[in-house]
Formats: sequence, structure tokens, C-alpha cells
Amino acid sequence: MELVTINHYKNKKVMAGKDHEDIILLLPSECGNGLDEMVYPVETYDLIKFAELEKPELTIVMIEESNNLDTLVLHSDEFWLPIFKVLGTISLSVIANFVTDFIKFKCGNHCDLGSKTVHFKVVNSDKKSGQEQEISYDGPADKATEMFEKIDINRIMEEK
Amino acid sequence: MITNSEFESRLRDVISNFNNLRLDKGKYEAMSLLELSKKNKENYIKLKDEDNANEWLIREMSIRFIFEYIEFYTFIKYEKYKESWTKLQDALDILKLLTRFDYLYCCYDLVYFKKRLTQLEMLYPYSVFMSIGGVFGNIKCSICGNDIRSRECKHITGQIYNGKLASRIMSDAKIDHISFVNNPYDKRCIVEPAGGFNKAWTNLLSKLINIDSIVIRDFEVIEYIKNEEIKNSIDENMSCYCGSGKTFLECCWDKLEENERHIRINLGEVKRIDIVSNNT
Repeated sequence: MELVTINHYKNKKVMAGKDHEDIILLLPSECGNGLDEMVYPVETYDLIKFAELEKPELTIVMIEESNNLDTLVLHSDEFWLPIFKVLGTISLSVIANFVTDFIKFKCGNHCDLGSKTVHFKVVNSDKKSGQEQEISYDGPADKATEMFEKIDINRIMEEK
Repeated sequence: MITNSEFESRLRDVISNFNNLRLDKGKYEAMSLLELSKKNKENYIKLKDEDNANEWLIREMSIRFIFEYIEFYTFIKYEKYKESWTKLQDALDILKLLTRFDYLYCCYDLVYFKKRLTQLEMLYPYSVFMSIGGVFGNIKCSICGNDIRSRECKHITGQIYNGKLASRIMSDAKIDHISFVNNPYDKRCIVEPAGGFNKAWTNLLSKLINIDSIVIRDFEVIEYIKNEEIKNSIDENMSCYCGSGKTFLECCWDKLEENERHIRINLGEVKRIDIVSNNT
């Protein structure tokens, strides 16, 4: 899947009037196999509803034209989530925690999160330089937070 | 309307029939109780009593679970093995739901059933499944009927709202791909070799069902690769079993390259299932 960067959307209305601090922007991806179009994975919509219900402290937005985009449904027993574009000071572990809590909510407290595979990307940008770094995670839901806590984003940005 | 205690008394009757291997009678009684539970749920939905409506949905699912479980054994009994696999998946799907919402109502030892059904799955040869990926222009919520993308729809798929399970109703589809996977959302789409599976597994299920009280007897399924086990257990310098006079290493060692999945079943004690007191 090709990554869509924030530059593609930066002039869209969704950004107008929003404080750019601490916003998570959900980006669509290219569908991939054969169909050349931008789509949101179907779990995106449950993710937003979950955030409104359980994580009111997070501001999560989609791109303005999201209503015109089709929805990708993969019939596998795994979680395919949209690209998280982090604007502001939100740390990577907040995103990972959010993802883990969402999967726990969907599957129930007794669910073995280690048996649930999750796929998502986080795009982090350096405010000053405007540089962006993309981090992908494809693995068990219970390890996402642990993995993201280990990432030194400043070092990654410096290396780029 | 039936009361909670009447429900549990009739559920005990269903389970008693199952424990005494009267599968058809158990199934019949389960169907009857299922209808009564549905009526109770519908009544609570009409009254907009969400707590009771949700609880009775789970009671209904509890009956449906035991119904599918009995159906599963019935299909094996009549040597309808593929149908029995579908019933096993039906029971597993309901079990997930019962586990997810056990705080609303719970009448079974869910850990026992999870282990039991997972062991039963291992008796089948299916390991590759078909999984469809597609793009949908229109997905509606089963609860409110709105587009799931709209702000009006507040329902999260898989959650229960006033006695109903929220699901997605999809249309305007463009199928993107069909994958062969081992972890599908739905294990009913099995991939079968052109010549069919080795008949050994149907013989196994057939023999298993004929073991006295197997329906309620504990058993443990152990998977292993037979050839690896043979290689590990045989001294490679011993005379080959084929009688060639050469050592096993020089002779038939390489013939054991084909690793086939084998299972061993260790039979345990008879364990009659029972209902557990609900935790609500």
C-alpha cells in the first residue's frame, strides 16, 4: 500500500478551524490489488465511534472527502486499520494504546490479544523541518504498545 | 413470557438429554426453548427495556449454542462430515459471542467448551481457507439503517443494542481479490484438494463417534508429524526395517522426508456437562 501524505490534504476544510496540536488524522490507503482507488478499511468507522465513546480526550478526524471514498473489507480474522497521521505532540505509544484498547473493546475482556493480528501505520512529522517518518506495525495486538514504547522517534527523525 | 427459573429448568432438561445421549430429543427441546427465549427478547425490545432485551439475546444465544453443538454430533453420527464442520463453526461463533458478553448472562463453563471445540476442530484436515477482499460503496448499519460512515450512526459492529447485535449490511461491491489464508474470518470456506482429503480423517471421525459416550467423554487431541517422531525415536545406525541389511540411515531414511500431519487422541473420563449459576 502506498502512503498518502498530509500534504495531499493540507488545504482541505477538515483542517480549517482545528487546532493542529494533538490531532490524529486518519488517512486512506490505496486499495492495492487491482483496484486503483483510495479506500478506508471498514474498521475505521468503528474506531472513530469507539474514540467518541471511550477516548473523548483524543481528537480524531478523517479527510474531508472521506464520505466519497469506498470502504475496504478484508474477510480475514485480523484488524486492518487506517494510517494514523499524528499532528502535534501525541506520542506513538498513545496511538498504540488506543489501538490495543479498541481491539480489546471489540473482542471482549477475555480475548487473548496475542492471538489477534493488527495492521496499521503511523506517520510522524517533525514540526520544524516538516520531515515525515512512517512506522508500520503488523503483529499481535498485545505487543503494539511495547514495541512503540521502544521507538525513539527523535533518533529516527535525525537519521532520515 | 417464561421466567428466568423456568428457562434454567428447561435448559437443564435439554442438557440432561444431551448427557444421556438422547440427541434428537435434546435438539427438539432446545428448539422449543429457543422460540420462547426469542419471544421474551422481543417483548423486552418492545418495552424498550434494553438491559433485559440484551440479557435475553444472550440467553437465546446460549440455547442456540447447545442446539448447534448437538447438531454437530448428529451430523457426525450420520457421517455428514462437512456439514458437521459448518455446525462446529456455528457453535464456535456463538461461543465467542457468549464469552464476549458473559457479564450479561452466562450459564456454561465457557473455558471447557472453548477447549472442547478447539480440540474437535483439530480432528479435521482443513487448514487452508478462502478469504475475500473487496471494496464496498455502501455499508449500512443493521441497527439504525444509516450508512456506517455517517455521523447519525453511533453503533459499533459486534456490540449489542436493545437486544440486537450490530452488524454491517454491505452492497455496491467490487471484489478485489480472493486469498488463500489460514486465519480467515469465516472458516466455512474450505479449500479442498482436487481428489478430496485422505479418507483416514472421515474414518477417524466415524470411529470416534462410535466410542462409548464420546459425546460427553473428555479427550485430548495431540498433533504431531509422524516422520519426525520416527526419526527421533530410531537409532539411524540400526538395521533398516525393510530388511535390506543396510543401516536405516543408508537405506530408508530419505523415504521419510514426506511429513504428514498425524493426530493422537487420548481418551479421558466421562464428564457430563451442566449449567453453571449465572453471574448476573
